[in-house]
Amino acid sequence: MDEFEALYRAHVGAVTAFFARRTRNPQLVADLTADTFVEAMGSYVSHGPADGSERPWLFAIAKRVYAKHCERASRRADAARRDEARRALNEDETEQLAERIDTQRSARELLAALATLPAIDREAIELVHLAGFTPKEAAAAVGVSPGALRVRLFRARAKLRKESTNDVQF
Amino acid sequence: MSSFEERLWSELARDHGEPLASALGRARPTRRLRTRAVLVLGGGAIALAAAAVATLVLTASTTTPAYAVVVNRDGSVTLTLNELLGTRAANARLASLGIRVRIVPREAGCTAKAELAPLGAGALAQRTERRNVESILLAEGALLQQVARPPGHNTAFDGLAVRIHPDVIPRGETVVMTVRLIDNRTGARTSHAIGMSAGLYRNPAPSCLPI
Repeated sequence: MDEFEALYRAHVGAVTAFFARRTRNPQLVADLTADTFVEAMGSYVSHGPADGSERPWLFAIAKRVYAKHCERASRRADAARRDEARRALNEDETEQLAERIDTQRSARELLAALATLPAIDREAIELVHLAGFTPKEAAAAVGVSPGALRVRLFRARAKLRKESTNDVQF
Repeated sequence: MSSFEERLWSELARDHGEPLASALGRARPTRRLRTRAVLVLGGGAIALAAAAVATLVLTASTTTPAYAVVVNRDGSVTLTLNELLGTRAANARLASLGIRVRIVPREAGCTAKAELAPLGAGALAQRTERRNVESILLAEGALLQQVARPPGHNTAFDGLAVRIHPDVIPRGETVVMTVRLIDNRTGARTSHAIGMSAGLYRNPAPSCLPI
């Protein structure tokens, strides 16, 4: 358990930020973060990360959790059920998560600016420039070779430079 | 960590900690056993034809996970297969890691188009400097390397583990590994094993290979 706790403490902030880039609802950020680590604990032994690949492994789980959430949210009944928060936040916790969400505002705007790019290109930008992955880690996370990832990064950056009107620098 | 993150950890440890701790305790000895795989080759250096290049034999196991894919520190990947049922999940895991290795069945009626790639110079199955360890070279560098061979074992094995070096798989090509069930008869006894072969194929990699 100590090794998983170390993994949790090292990466819970990044996972929270991952969801804060996708929603402005603190309760939802809390639930999706919790879902991610519940799933991670369940598969840690059978399909756990190799040394040095903990972060890509966790982000792959977070992606699946978010995709499932989107699928559920598209159905009205499930969306209504989601409104009944499973992990009720107190005032301090809500405020802390709201701050985290606020710090990700520019990141959300950046991702929105890349909406016309292929999903893998958007993900490459997010992982390398927002989540701090190395290109090798990001390549493993999105399932392409490091060389292919660099090409995608180059293409996405070029699009950003072309379309940005203010202070986005790469 | 924020108070939310501290509270979440307390809840995770309380609600899910015991199964994880129990699974970790069970997994440690099993993981060591899984490296006791053996690569069965004809002994010494064997020149490889462009077809199936070697056979790996292992007994099917019902007590360990069907497969495992582990990324090593040097970038290589160790693939462990314990039973045929693990191939689909293993393929999904390899694909998610961007590793061009696919495990396909050998089937009598397979008509999938398959184009073997020419092997690189020096493509040999050979013993490495370490005694009891053998490798299959499919191109420049070792693509498949059997991980460990316990002294004294030569016919019955607990599992299969091969090391794959994804960086040296040529662009546009895929290592295709095949698996099939084999009956081994020793006197009146029959044991079941998984036979495995490997080859380098041009993309798109076939979804099956004929027997």
